[in-house]
Amino acid sequence: MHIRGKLLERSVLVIDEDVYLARLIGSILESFEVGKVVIIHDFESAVEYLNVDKFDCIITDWLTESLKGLDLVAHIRHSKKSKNNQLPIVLCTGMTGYEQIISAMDAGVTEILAKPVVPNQLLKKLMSAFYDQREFISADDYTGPDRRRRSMPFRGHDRRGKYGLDQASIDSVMSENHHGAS
Amino acid sequence: MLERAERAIQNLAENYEAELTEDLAQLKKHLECAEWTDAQHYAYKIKSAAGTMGWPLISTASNFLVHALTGRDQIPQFEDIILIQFETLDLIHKEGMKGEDPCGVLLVKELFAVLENYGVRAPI
Repeated sequence: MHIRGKLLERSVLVIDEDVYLARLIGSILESFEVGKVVIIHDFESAVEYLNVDKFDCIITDWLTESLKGLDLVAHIRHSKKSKNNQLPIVLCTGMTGYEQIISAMDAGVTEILAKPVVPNQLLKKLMSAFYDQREFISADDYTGPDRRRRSMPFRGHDRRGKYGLDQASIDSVMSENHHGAS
Repeated sequence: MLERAERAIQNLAENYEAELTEDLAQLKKHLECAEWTDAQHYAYKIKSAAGTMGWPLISTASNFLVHALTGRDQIPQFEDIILIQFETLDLIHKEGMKGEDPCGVLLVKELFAVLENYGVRAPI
């Protein structure tokens, strides 16, 4: 896909408690020529921004210090105040245990990007969030992008219970027909 | 586009050495004071940034440490384990083992083997 210039009209909100990492992600997005990049570092500011401004995508960490990363996802998906209920959400995290990946999917994230961040993976997730959006589900027990994807064989290293999943394994988990899929 | 991203990272990486030195100092301080939550914060921070900034072995070793700190209640000889882990991190940094430095790769493999021998199993 020819992507140069495609992101000029896009806006991305980056949330990471770590100032250095947020700046890193912001720099990569600017090098991708994303039109507007807003960087913030805490849950409360994120909620304020999301209530008054519209974005095309959000990239958020798990927000380990406050443990509010998934609360933020819940706010985006459910709050009547939010202008971004169906916003693609990329969870950018170093917490990549199998159960954590499933929790994030159930919370309604769109994509999961493993830290440390690699530019081509970030670009892939961004393009997927913008141009390959799944049907949006609003049900009693789940609000978010359809968790069902093409059924694909598990191609990553099976490292459950070891030191977290690598990006290929996360992608495989997200491609499996999750048992609780809507 | 990706080349520009790599250049942007290289520009940031030039200043990362100082950041990493400070983060390792903070990590050491919190480990010595048994401030495990704060130590976990710095280990996670190092894991998250070092890999992108040209220190993948530091990132891998920090990941082991994050998991050890998370599952500390289940780990026998926990304080011995984290000492070994920190010394490995420190050595990789002091010896400048960037990228896939062969000695660094062996060191991280050894660390993994030691953790296995200690029966360390990270929580899922």
